[in-house]
Amino acid sequence: MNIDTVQTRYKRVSEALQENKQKAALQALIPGLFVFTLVLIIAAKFTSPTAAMIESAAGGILIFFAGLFVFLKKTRIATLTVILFSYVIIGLFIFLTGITSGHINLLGLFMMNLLVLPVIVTGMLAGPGGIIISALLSGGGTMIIYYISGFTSAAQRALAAQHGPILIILPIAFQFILALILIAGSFGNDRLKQEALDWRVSYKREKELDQMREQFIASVNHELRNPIMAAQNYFILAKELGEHGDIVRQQKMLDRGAEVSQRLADIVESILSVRKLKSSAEDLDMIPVELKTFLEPIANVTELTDVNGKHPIKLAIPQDLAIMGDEQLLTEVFSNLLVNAVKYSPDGGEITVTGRLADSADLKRAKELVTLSPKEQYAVISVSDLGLGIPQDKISLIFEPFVRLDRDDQSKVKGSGLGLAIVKSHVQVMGGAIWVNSAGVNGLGSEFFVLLRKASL
Amino acid sequence: MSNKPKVLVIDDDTYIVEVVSTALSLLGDFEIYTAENGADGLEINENVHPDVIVIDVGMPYIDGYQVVRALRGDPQSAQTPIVMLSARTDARDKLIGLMSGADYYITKPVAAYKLVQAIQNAQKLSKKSREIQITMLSDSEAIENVVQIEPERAELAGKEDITDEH
Repeated sequence: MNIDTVQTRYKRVSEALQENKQKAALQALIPGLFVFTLVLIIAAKFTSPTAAMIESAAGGILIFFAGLFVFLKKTRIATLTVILFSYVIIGLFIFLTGITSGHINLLGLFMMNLLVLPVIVTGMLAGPGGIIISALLSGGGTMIIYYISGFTSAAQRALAAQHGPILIILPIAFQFILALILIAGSFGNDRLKQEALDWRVSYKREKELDQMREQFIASVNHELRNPIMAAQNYFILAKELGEHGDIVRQQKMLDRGAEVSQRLADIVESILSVRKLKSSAEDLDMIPVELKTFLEPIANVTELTDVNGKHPIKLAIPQDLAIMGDEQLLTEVFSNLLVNAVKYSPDGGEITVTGRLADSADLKRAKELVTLSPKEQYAVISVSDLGLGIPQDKISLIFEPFVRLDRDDQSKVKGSGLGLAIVKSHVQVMGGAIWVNSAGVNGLGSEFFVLLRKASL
Repeated sequence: MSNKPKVLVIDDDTYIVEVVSTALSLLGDFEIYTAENGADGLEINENVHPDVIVIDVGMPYIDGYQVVRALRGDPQSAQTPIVMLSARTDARDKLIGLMSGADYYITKPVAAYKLVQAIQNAQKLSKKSREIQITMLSDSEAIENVVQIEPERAELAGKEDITDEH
């Protein structure tokens, strides 16, 4: 799947989520405002004119602003307006109807329905958990107000009357039913949210891969021009020297031409071998891979084909640790890392491969490099050696294509400068991250960390 | 000491240094100096005062642009023809190269014949431009004389103006 498709889908889901939020806000606002208006009408009819006036004014402002913000698609501000005003109005109500000072009446108890507003508001802001807490608080609040008002004679009369239980049950039931409706709605929203998050992760990851590919192509372009120019001109010069009869220098030019042509061939070979770089996560065959079983043969082959002396490879990997990966890419990644460890270690230097679950420090490090999926678990495989190590100023560069350390150009260690760039690309295509720690001190070596999604076997 | 024009070649790729310098001495009759990085290049420039400088762009530590700026900042090489020889083919890179003070921007790969021709042109042009400079220098001396006379004239003109007002 290309980056444009991912981007389009991410946009579509985000828009759906935004729409859904607005719908949810409207859905919650309508019953809330309905209850509120009802209470206002009754209040205007039965309580003191002052109380009715103040409550009407507050209610009017609330409806106006909440409506305005919903209209302007500022769901969050609309929600906050409702929260703020519902508490102000409930406060006013409790103060004005004198519920705590003994002047409670039937109407006052009916107005307990107002406590449904915080539930609605929580529904707009928070998930199912928040709604449950809010419903319980409102229910509890209703009971407490009943309890306080129970000491007054008017309230006692009201509660003792036939419709007493209805007065208690009605608001609490109303609060709980609304909570249930909101919870159902918010589950739907959560699904969309999760989907949007997934798409965002894939989008970001595709973008990172895209950047890496672009950078790679740019450096290939740059890297090919030098040897092409050298090869072309060694042959031109050989021809010219031949015409001058300078056979010795002609021979030298031809030798150099052959040498540089070989270098050119190596680079082209590497480029062809990394055509996998073009692949995106969708072209991979991601399966659960049991690490110990998978890495043992790779380690054995590395030991057997070791041309730089003897380097024992120790595997310290729990039996049941498995990761999600494409076997072909994983083979390239770990052979490359092991061959590098062998290349840069003194004869006899031990190489250790460990596997474990990623801890918070690993995840933190990986998140600086790539976008990780928050719902996945990750495992870390490390390859450490006791070799030359990597100078501090080069650590950030070694995964870039064609970056070789100065010492490599002078030493027997050969390479195209593409190995680690390929490894990084492979790891990232599989949704993982790679980094290295090294003190840059000969003998302390370096440790490469590969973080990949954990698989459950 | 030979009378051959001197060319300084700065490139971190040893193969490129070799082909460019061989081509220049074989096809172009130049005396060649080479450096594999910017710092060495600047030092050689100080010592030998080359007639033409050929420089790569992508080099470690100090890149070609920076070296060119440093060369231009030095009065000794401020007028030396500089040919940038680069694997970067973007128009943007070319512009940066020319803006940093290079006279020519040639992209790799380039055949020896063409490169030598370009360097010869650069060297000839520099000779011409130096001649022009010398003429301009003598001209500027004349201009300076004129300017020195000018204040007196201006004073006289001012007096005339005042008289006119009356």
